[in-house]
Amino acid sequence: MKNRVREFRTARGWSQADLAEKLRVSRQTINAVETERYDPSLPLALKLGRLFKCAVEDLFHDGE
Amino acid sequence: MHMSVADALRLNLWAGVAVLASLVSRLLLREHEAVTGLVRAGVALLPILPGLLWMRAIGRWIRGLDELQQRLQWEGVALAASGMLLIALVADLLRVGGMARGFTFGWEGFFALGFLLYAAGLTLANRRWR
Repeated sequence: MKNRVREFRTARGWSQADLAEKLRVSRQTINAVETERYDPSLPLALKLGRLFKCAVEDLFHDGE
Repeated sequence: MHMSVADALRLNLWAGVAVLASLVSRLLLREHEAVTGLVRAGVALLPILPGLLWMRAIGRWIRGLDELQQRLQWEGVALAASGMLLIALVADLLRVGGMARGFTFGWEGFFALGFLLYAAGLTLANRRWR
């Protein structure tokens, strides 16, 4: 799954640790999501969408 | 993921109690060989209850972690469980085949083996998701 989490995060000037803290997950989780090695659960994807004030589809897409 | 020494001690408190119960159980069984039946079985199984409480504490701790950390922990636990099962199976087959007669892990060996396999599984999983 492709995603734009890093793009959205850096646009806000947040570090991975900042984002991890806001989402109450580990920095390792944020890194794994951003490098597209780990697809987050639906609840975490929804949290990301809420935090970035965008639709989940804007953050994640299947590359097609 | 970082854990303070105090948190690690709190998490593994029941493991310590299980070890103590095991030592007390062994001592009682050795000192009171005349005791048989249910009482002896009860004393022999003394470490089981704190052991189960320890497993419950570990399960709760894992459920409290974030989703990737949970996955890492379960991968470690899965490797430990499957590895121990495989080793126990191999040891039993060798015993049936007339080899490794009298060989037994004992709870200390089983615990140490499980911990080593868990640590190996956790390291491998961490490497994959780093």
